[in-house]
Amino acid sequence: MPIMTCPASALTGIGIIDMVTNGQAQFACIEAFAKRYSSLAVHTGMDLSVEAEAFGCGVKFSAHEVPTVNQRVMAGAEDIDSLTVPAVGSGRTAEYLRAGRLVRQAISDRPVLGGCIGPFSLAGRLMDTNALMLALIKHVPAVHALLEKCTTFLIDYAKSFKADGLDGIIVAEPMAGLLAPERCEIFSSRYVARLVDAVQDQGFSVILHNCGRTTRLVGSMAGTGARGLHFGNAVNMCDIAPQIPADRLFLGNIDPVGILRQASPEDVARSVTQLLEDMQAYPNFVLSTGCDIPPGTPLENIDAFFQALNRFNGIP
Amino acid sequence: MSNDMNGLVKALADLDEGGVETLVRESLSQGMAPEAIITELSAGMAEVGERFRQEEYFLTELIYSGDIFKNAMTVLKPLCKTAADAKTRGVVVMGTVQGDIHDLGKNIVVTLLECAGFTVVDIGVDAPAQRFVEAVAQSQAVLVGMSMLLTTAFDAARETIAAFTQANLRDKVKIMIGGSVTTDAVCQDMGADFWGRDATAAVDIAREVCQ
Repeated sequence: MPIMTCPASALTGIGIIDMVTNGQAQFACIEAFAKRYSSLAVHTGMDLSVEAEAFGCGVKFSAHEVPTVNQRVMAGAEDIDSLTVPAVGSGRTAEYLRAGRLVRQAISDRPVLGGCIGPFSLAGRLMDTNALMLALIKHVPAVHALLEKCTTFLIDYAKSFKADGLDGIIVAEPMAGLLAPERCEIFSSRYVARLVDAVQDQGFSVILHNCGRTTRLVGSMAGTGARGLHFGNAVNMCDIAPQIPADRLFLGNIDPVGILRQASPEDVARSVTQLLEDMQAYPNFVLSTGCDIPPGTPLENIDAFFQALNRFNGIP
Repeated sequence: MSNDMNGLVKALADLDEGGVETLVRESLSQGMAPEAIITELSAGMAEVGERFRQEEYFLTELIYSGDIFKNAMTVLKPLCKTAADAKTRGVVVMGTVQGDIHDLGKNIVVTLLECAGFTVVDIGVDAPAQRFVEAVAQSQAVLVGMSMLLTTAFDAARETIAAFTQANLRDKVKIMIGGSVTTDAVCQDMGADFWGRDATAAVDIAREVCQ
């Protein structure tokens, strides 16, 4: 289950800006991928600027890249009290929800997942990142107040995906990968756990994605209760796998840039096969990419990803 | 006296902000030269970098150490007898290349370079090739750091390197790249001189270039 939306431009002719601002266009891209590839699940776009924009951040759009926050709503901890939690549907969240609904209506042969940012990573977009890192030491109560607001919004957002009939949500929390294990627990995992408690049940799963240096964070990530744990290519899955509880899925971690975007189909196949061989002893492992596949990735390389998987599984 | 200075190295390495403030104040009152105190603080920062490499410290600790160092420098710098520029280990131009507005990695490198004694000309994010070239021409920098978090920024980085060649500055300046999408292969492919795996590696590169 690679994380991918943007490379569907090559299939649909839909540009990146349309894809991230128009739920119908995003749906068309997701559907195009679903028709071409037998992925384990499909998901709405991984766009870590959507929620921050709903809070009032400025966003830079590009025809060649996913959007990026370029204007924070807070300079420092002193601005947290005045931050207002937006209603779900603000900004482009309405379009992402729409994309999820359309995918749900059109695709019934596999799970449909929504996507949202994690609480700490959202905080790191609302507030200058350096200031946030310092606040973790100097203004701890203020950071918790900020995380409360982020979590309140994200729970409502996740509940909206659930209400629309989706099967789960990928929560992307990459900034937690920058933290020491004890801070990851205090400032990320405890808030993710609340999100999990609020939405996860037999019909709705949370997959927690962290593409940082997570080797020492696995216990904290698993402690959130998320049914799936998704890892980036900053880690060696052989170090991760033995730490995963048997009742959880874990996913990862083919390099989306160095391998899928830049290497040859043969390199992709080699990397996929090697990872599958390394993970052979773990039936709860699901092949994925380490993060979202960037725009411009050759479809031949994505083809090679699935062909290598099928070859490994003996599927013609 | 030397025990106090060793204590200063340890206080900064242990991120003891109050301890650093106290020891800097005491060292000054005991007649220590501000330059000598800065040397000890730099040794403390080097230890922080080592602990980061060993994964004992993470980004929060790295940024906090830079904050402690900078606060100490606001006290010490005005007291230095020599001009600040005379004490610099070298000038480095840092920027995020055109088309990319990520600043976290760049800012950390800027902080660590300054803490290590380099003068940094920070030209910000989304910086066009010409801004890099002009900054080097004006500052006489010997090292340029180009940060990028987007693969689509690779072309802008290549254009920036080409702009240095066109300005007849390429043989006068070394170019390092860094950012999560970069690799040593990318560095070689675009014709840069160094790839910094992380912020501490960037400081090591600056030391190598400016030694």
